[in-house]
Amino acid sequence: MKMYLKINNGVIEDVKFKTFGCGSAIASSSMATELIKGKTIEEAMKLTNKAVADALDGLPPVKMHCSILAEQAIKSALLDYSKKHNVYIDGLEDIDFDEDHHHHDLDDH
Amino acid sequence: MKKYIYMDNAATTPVKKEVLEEMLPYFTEKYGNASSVYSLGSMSKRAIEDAREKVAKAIGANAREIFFTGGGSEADNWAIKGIAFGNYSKGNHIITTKIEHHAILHTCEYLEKKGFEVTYLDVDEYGLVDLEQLKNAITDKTILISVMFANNEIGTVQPIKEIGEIAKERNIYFHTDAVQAIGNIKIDVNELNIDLLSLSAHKFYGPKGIGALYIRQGVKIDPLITGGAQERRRRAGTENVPAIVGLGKAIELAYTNFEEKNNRLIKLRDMLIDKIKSNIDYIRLNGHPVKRLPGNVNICFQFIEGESLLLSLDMVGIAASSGSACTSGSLDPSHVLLAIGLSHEIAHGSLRLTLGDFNTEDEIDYVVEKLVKIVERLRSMSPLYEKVKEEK
Repeated sequence: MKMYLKINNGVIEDVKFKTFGCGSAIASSSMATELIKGKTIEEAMKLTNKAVADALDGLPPVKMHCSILAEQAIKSALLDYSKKHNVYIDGLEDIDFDEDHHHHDLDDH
Repeated sequence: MKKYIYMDNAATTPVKKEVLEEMLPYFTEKYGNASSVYSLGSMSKRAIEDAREKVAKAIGANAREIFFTGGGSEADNWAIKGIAFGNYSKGNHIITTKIEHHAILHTCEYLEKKGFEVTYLDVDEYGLVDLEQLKNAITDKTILISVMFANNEIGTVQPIKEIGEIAKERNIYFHTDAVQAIGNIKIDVNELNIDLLSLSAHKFYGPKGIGALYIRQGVKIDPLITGGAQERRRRAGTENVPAIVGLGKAIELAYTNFEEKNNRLIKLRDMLIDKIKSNIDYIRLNGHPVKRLPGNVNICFQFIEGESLLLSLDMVGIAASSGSACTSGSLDPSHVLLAIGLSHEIAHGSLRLTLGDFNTEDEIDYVVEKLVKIVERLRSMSPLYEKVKEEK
């Protein structure tokens, strides 16, 4: 799963995604982009996997990890942005994503 | 009008009208218990014996060697457990393959917990077993060889006659799960040296929940279900008369005009494969190019995942299936696709289209047309495809 963010003055103006995965993974990434488009970075940071799943009218238990991936992908993208532009984003300090989290683990769906 | 194209005939088939018509009176008018002495009962008994004759005729057996079961899985369970427990004094070793249906694999795993030893034969890239490996696996303790006739996922047809000869030479029982093969391949149990054979009606336009196990005369086997004197004391339980009648009619129809139907299916299958090959790149045909079931097409589309493919196909009215983990409820893709040496990544992108008597050439064109667009769309959103394009 990959997320692309276009950020201007702290506002996410556009979001795009790429996903190799099942229907739930694609739907979760798509919904996550819808939910943060036009929002500020602070608002996007508040997006939870549950909110993604709820917006999809729920996901079956075995597919909940797809929504977690979507939440993680957004936070990874924001972390990438904060590193590249030296912007401090509240809430990212405890998150320790490695590169692999940008992608949907092949064995994981 | 919304089109609906059914290309999952290996999963199940619709009951043909002629089959249903024969079944219907046995629900409401001729409802007698076949064990009863009065004429209503003997009417049911006759219907069962008539169906038994039809099944026997279809596979070159004697009617007394056909036993009705509650489906293919029961027949498989019975064959494996029945032989294992019935011949324990002779040995505790069973040989099967890595690509069997779970009705065989899980039964063998269960027996392993009960003290049996099981050898799971490898298959090559086409899904074929190696006869040398089979011969080498045989020990003095081997009591059963069970190899499926044709694989449900990739359609590969095994060298059943050769396996039967090896088993006969070594005096070992040979069972074959022919659930996918019956109706699609001509089978003669004597010519092929088969001792036990499982079949299921709903794979050849009969009803669900009914199957049969062929047991060669003289084979020592324990019953799986005990309780009554039905099926010559080998399978207890009041007979499902309408379903048995349906099975008999369906198997008779399956081998009527067989060559004609078979050739038509092979033509449609190869047309579908060729059209997909010439319109979509980064694909792989799974299974053997020639030794395959007449209606089976199984193809991996690289960089995309099978379930998303199925959902997209369903949206345009096409029913198909996949060996992707996402469709199975587990984390691993199909054991068959892994056994033929595919990586997890490739196996996830498999699509199975299985054709039947009701599919047409027009449907092939429609499916290919839609498939091209769907694969293109899913690849356009795949990070894996992006990488490949960058490298080009």
